[in-house]
Amino acid sequence: MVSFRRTLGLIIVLIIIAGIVSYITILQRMPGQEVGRVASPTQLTGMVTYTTPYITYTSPRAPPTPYTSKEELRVAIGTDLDTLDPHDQTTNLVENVIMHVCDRLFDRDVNGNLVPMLATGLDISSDGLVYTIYLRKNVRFHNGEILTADTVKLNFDRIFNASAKKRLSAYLPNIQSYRVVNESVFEIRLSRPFAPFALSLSLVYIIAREAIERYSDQVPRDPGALICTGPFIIVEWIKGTRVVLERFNGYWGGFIPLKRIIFYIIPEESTREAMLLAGDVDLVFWPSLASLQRLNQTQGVKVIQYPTYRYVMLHFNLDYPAFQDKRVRQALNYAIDKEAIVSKIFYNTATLVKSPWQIGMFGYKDIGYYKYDPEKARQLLSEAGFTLGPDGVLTHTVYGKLSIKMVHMKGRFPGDVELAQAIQGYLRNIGISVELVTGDWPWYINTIYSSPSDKAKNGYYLFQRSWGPSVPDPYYTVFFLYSCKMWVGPDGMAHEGVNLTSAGRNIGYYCNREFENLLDQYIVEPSPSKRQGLADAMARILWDDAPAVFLFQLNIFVAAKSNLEDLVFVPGEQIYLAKAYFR
Amino acid sequence: MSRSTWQRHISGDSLTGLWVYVIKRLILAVPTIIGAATLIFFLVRVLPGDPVHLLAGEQTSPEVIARLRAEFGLDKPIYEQYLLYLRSVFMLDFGISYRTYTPVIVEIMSRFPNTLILTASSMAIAIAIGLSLGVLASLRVGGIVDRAILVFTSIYVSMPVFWLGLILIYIFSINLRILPAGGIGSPAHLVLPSLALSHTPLSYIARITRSSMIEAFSQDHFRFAIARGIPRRNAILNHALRNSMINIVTVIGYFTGVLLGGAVVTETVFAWPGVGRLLIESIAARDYIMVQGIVIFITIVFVLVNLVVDIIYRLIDPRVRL
Repeated sequence: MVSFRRTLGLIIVLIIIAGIVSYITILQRMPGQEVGRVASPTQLTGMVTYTTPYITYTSPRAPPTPYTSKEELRVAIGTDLDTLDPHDQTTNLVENVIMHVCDRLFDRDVNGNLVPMLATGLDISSDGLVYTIYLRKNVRFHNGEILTADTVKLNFDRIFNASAKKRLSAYLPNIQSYRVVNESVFEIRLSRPFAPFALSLSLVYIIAREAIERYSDQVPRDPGALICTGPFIIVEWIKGTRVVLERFNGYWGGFIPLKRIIFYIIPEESTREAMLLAGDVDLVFWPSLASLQRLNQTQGVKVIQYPTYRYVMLHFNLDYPAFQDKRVRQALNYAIDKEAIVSKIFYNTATLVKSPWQIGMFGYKDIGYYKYDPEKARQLLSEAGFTLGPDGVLTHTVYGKLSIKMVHMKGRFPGDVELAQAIQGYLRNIGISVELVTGDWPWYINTIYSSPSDKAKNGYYLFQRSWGPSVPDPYYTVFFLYSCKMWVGPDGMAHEGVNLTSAGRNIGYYCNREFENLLDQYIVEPSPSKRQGLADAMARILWDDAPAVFLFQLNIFVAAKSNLEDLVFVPGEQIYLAKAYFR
Repeated sequence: MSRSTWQRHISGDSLTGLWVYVIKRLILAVPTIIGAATLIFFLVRVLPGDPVHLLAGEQTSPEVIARLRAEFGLDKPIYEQYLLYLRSVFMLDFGISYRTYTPVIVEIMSRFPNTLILTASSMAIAIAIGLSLGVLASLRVGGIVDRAILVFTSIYVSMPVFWLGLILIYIFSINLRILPAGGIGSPAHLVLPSLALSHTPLSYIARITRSSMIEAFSQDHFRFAIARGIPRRNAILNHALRNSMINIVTVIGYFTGVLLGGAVVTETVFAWPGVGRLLIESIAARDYIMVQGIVIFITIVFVLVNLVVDIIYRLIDPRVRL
């Protein structure tokens, strides 16, 4: 009997020891977190929309008034960082953290214009080939280094390292050479004029000489190696748990109200919301759409949103003969009630767009609106030769039945599945039969970038798409999505005599020579006013030609404690927190 | 079991036999691990999705795509990738994550203590409450307590863990505000995920304890013990429960293995950074190397847990021959 009891005891002791050992391990790595408190939700508050122009670095700021002594901001985000490398990342989430630690050469204002950051000025030669960058003086890195043109050159060397080109290099095309002119002047020479290049400079983060020369390989994963000039320093990064930033007191940009920002990694949106309501965090990114109204009515909580550059649309695959008829494409634009979708599915967290590119981009103008008009859609389809069959589906003597498959993603942005279902319903309403083909993001990417023959074999002729460029120049939308040079497929494969590229993003094989000529001129035109004219002409062609069903721009939305002020929204789906404070 | 019996079973010749058995089992685990490694290597590649496209981002250049493909070895023929992978498995080198540029084993070991502590606390709750409920129900078969426990365990095990987790958060974090809703960092953070995660093993342990105990009560040795005048409490604990332990330990071992492999849903709901969440994140990013490493790691954990369970069988029941 004794031994049996011992055995049972042994099991329990083993479990307890394992628990204690692991717990001690965790405790040593993670300081405790207090359980917070908030007031009970009773009072209604209105939806707040931020219109604050974002980051500007003109002069040091004074402390805001009124201003509380609470200096720690706790933020719940959905996904952990995969890398810390500012030169080799592509996700908005990574940038959301990195932008508080590192500065870029230039920033952008709310209209997409360049504004000074680490550089105070930019000269572009009249032939559009030479970019001279004037650096801010007396800017110190976290390690005390002073910013010089030499350091900037080292950063460019790192980005364009021949054996390991960083992902940022894709945004800086056509660079022929670069050189240090003097301690605070850096010059870049292009091989051919490329007008969007100036805005691309707003993506170039500068890290310290020491970070490059001593720790270059460690930058992606070691916070200590990420030495920059930004207002915060990463002091702790526990994978899957949290990232802790602390204020850099030698920051060149002036007063920073917060002493510490903690980003908690909370993948489940309901848990993020619960943490806000329980007082565990002060700000949550992307609460669920369905909860926005409830959160907005909770005392002590506010919901804030701001348009991003992410454009949601439906792309036509022009390999489908019926979609080669412009009237059919226009009909689909008229058939979908975008306003109802924005209101009922997206709870007004999306913004209608009346141009082929996004609000806030260079050259944006409202040029038209495919207002919901199912009668007009039916009329256009009738003019195109479609008649309603006995099964209620449109048929054509040449194209056959208008029955298609629509590829869409699941889990990429809130409401993506519901959007696809709504579209299916609207199109059925005018006699188009749509079968939805759903998949997660990796499947979706694989599918839309597959070869034209694979798409045809599977019958994939309509694609739900969301496109969020990092640079606010229409080039980064219309070139990638609609240029004949960007037809996508396996490298080396040709389609209708055009060589495909795996880096291409024109998934519908749209090609309009008139638009292409204008785009070619737009890319090399240095004069902003002439570029504006060319942009207008491009927009009109695309809008009329309708290579896609143009839907809306998504807003970024967050829920925050109502006394949290000065959140600065960046249209690239980030929020700059270095100005935030608690009222 | 007397003290001398106990000593006989864990020392001397028998102890040598135990070590031989352990070594034999570990050797036999090698083909299991290679099988799992091979299976997962091809399974992740069958999944639609190209890690390079995901990592390069949508606005990229052919040069960047080519660099990433070469960096990850994905430009090599599949058989060559497989052979290189097998070689690295033999050398216990799980590789570098595509996504985080960190050695896979470092990533796993940064998460595994979290999984271990969650498993330990969940199983402790499940064993303590499950055993008690099972014994209690078996002592009151057909009575109101027995029926109440049966109904409770049936309902409890039927609750989806996702739903249960959110209900716990709603009650204890939002309404009562006594426990944090998610995250990690203090003993309080462990309570809700442990409660949620323990619900299935707890119910199974309670039910298996009840049925095993009822069966033990009808055995001759138990009746004989009572007839000998052994106090009922001692007879229940040392005769009935002890004889039921083989079944109970089997259930405990199974659930321990499952939980150590990561509890994806619980870890997601409570933002608990364990191995399960890492696996899901890696699958979503098509981080082949990481997925392969985690699956091999989970296989090894399962093999070890089963081995421990078998050794415990032996300690509980001397008739078991290893």
